[in-house]
Amino acid sequence: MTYVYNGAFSENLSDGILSLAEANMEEVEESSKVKKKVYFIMVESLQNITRHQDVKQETYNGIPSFFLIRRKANDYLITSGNSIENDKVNMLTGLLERVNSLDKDSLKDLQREILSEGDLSSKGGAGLGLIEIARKSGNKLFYDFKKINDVHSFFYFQTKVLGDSPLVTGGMEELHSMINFHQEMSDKNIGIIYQGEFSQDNMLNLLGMAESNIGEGIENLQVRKKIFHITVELLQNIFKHADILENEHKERQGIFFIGSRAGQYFICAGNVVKDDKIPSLKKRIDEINKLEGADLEAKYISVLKEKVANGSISNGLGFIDIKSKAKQNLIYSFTSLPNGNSLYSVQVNVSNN
Amino acid sequence: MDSLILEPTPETPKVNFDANTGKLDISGRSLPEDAIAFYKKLFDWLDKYSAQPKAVTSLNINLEYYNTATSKQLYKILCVLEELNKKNKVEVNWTYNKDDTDMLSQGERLSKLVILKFNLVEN
Repeated sequence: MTYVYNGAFSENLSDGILSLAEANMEEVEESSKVKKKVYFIMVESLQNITRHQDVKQETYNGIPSFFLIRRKANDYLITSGNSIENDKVNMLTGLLERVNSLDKDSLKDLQREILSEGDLSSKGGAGLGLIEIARKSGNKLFYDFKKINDVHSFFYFQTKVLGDSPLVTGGMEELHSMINFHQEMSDKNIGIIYQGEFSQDNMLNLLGMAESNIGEGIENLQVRKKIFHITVELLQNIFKHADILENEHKERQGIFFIGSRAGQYFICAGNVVKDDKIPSLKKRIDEINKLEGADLEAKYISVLKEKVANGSISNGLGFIDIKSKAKQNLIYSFTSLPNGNSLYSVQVNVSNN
Repeated sequence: MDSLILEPTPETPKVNFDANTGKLDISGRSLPEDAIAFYKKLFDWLDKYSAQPKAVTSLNINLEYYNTATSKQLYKILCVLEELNKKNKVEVNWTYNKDDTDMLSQGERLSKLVILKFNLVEN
């Protein structure tokens, strides 16, 4: 599972991210010990983001925040990023270094000391949070700062929960690659990336997130609804034709991302299919891409009538509907994977007017 | 006969099919992946209702969003009511938000597919 969010945060969004991660951990039957750790660290990291942002704007001085959770084998990487004032960098570095210098028992002692003093304001509530995260993860805390301007810096913070035989290193490599990833995502204006299980619940959850990530920025009701519709159809269509990945868990795996660039919104979904399906999938989209206006409408109606008359359970309308709403061709691609499989993805662009 | 009342969920609409008044309301969002399973309850009810309908039946659709899987089920409901209309009066009220031209054109599209009194109601 990989989930990345780059944008404005709200409490609803945090709840959505938490349930998405929970659903994915349930799916792989993660041990309750690891689940609890990951959940706790996510809550603390997400609160760290929302605590620092302007309540009304849901961003901090207009600077969007960042959250990433990734499961790699049995390891979890939880990375958050938010802007802070430059004059807090030294204090935060000191705190993180102190936490990192302490062993398990000393961390416990420090926590007790802060709690018994009962003076949270001078030591900072965040301090306690960091100690607790360090204790739960059993690992060092990784962090970095990137200067944004004279007033603000971006604070990256990464926690690792390592499984029995970790694939992830104990060093800074993963944090650096996440920072590069965040930069790239920001350059391309991508708001959400998700790779994981696509149950109907997860899909609804992602829809809610897509609505808050890009939906609220769109004043035109028609464009907002169009994006919502297209996202629903795209996800339901792509995953209905999914060949369940032949891994041990048999879950419906796929990828989804959404973002905006130069007055256009783009929505992309993909999943794994058997190579022998490629010609028929290509043919279906090519046929729809050729149709415009009245021909497209006629096709919609003939498929609707035919499917209802035959009592067919297959849909057949999804891509026609997407094309007629987006008024742009569907862009597809097939990327070869091992064992006679390919990653099949479809992207739809919607212009902002 | 009993009315059919289904409370809305994030992916299914509110349904209130009132056997006493002949008012059949569907409102909210309808995005189920398996629309056939959800709408089966409505068809089972309509089947019984058609045997003893009210003098006037009105289908009131006021949907904010629906997926294409749902659009097939809506068309199917209209076909059932078209049949009923041969004996008893049926009318359809399709309510849409005045800024939502897409929902208006969806209503227009469906109205052309059946022979029924079909009112497009701006709200």
